[in-house]
Amino acid sequence: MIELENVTKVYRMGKVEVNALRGLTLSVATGEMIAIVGASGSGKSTLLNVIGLLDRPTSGRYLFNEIDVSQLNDNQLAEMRNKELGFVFQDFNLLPRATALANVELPLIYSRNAGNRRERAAEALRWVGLEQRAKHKPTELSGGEQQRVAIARALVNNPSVILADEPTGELDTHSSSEIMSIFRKLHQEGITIILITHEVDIAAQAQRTIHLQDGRIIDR
Amino acid sequence: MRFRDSIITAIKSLVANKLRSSLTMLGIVIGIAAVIGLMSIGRGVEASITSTFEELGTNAIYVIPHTPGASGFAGAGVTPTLSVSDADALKDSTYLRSIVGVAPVSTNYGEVTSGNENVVTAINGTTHEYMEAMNYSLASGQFLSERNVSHRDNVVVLGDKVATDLFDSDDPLGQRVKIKGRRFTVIGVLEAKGGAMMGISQDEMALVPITTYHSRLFTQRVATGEEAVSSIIVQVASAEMIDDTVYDIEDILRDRHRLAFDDEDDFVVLSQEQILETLQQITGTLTLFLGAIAGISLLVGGIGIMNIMLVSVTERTREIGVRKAMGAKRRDILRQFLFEAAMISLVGSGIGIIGGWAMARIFSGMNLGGGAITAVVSADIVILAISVATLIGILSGIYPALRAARLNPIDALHYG
Repeated sequence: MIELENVTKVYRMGKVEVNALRGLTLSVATGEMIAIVGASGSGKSTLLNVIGLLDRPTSGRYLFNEIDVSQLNDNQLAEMRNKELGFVFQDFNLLPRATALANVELPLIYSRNAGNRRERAAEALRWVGLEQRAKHKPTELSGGEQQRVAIARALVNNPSVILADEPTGELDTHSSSEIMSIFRKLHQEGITIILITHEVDIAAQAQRTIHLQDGRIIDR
Repeated sequence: MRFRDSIITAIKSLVANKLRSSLTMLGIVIGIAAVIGLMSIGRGVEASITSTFEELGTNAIYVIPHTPGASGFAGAGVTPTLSVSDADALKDSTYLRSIVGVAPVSTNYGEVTSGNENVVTAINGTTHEYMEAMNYSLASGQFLSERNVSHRDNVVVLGDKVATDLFDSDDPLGQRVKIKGRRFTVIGVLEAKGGAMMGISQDEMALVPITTYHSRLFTQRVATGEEAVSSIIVQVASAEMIDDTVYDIEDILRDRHRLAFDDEDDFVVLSQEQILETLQQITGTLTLFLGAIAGISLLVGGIGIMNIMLVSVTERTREIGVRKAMGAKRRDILRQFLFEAAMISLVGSGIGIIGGWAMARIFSGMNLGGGAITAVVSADIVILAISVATLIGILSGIYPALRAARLNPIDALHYG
């Protein structure tokens, strides 16, 4: 599913070069649920951005579904994000003025396969148990509910991979375990899940944990 | 992303910021209303001048004095160069068969008194040919006759306004009026014309025989000692002959004034058409000028849109990042912001058209300098205004939209 080979990423921050990833090799099989852990600054988010096709590696090879993504242009990457990937962020990133339903619908308006948008968005909301909250705006929802809307948005276009960056970072324990059970349920449906976390008990729920330090994978 | 979705997205975000959107729109509304309103008023003035002139016969030629070296038409300080005998010469000249009437006119301002009523008006000394040349008709009585002129009779024909001002609803015929202390008998009243020529009503005048005018009212002479006239109106048999007749008149008068071949004319010969053209040029320039001033406010409106769009892009950096992560392409983001700008200017110009039309309606019928103007909102002005507004909307939207489209999704997601 996902094959990273000796991937590096160098950022330029003004005059300083930052080596965020230093030769990283990783492979994730279809249907796997993995956790990426590491201290802040270890390159977790950069890795997730590269895997999520939001950023291109400086060197190395990245095969997504056996496609070399370095050959794709920006529009093709956007299409691929839309079709194959779902994103869940730490601070939810919902559009504040849109209802829960409209937020879930968002990926579909950029999709080629855009029939029955309303129904599909409503179906995704039902799947995360928020069908009665469809008309509510994000400010009228609790943190846990907002994150469930975000998950519904991530899965509405039937992606093969869902990427989550600290999805429980801003939630209380109860909401956290609710969110994690949704992720486990998605995993059971056969969706590949990659999540970043620094909480040990969250990482423990994944099949495999990858430890990052200074842009490299280390063994524990 | 489908076209319809782009429009819906744009409308939603405009509605979400109602106050800001409407204030931004206000700039365009005012700009468009000003362009349409002011240009319509300009057109109205143009139309009223044209129609006033068309009421005077179109086959008239005017000869007026001109001071060599001075620019423009005759003004107040022009030395008199045309005399009564110039007018006679044109009438008598055997080869100018195109001329059917010649009316010399001497003009001055003076008081006309009847009992306790008095009016200050133009007093014209002229001949029986004046009425036809100037396309007047009589409301009552009769016009000056050849006999009145040759006998230097103390008779006067009053313009409609002067007659009403002096006699109200009484019959003025046969009444006595006083001009410069002399008694005149009213023999006729002219039909009202209504229009005004450059602010001077055509119904405010008193006509007396030119001989009487010179001997009893105002005496002004040209250098040779002959009696001066303010203008000579020549009536031509048909419109096609006008151009040739203008040349012939120039020849005759140059000869009579003994001008050497490289001397400048000391008179100007103007056909009705030329005067009309010149006036239309002036009013056309006025209309354009008004439009240009209004155009500046439209430009300011456009800058307002650009300003707000830039703020909006910065404010919604995160939203742009989310949309890009969800698969929005550059062109989707570009279109979204461009449509927002276009929508503001489109709705703004819609309201502006109504505003401009209302402005034109208010000014219509207002009496500006003599005659009432009729402001005309014509399709070409509206089309011009809308195209300029759309252009401004797109131009002011394109830069902010490009900025939004070029945002790096990662930076956008972590913004703020």
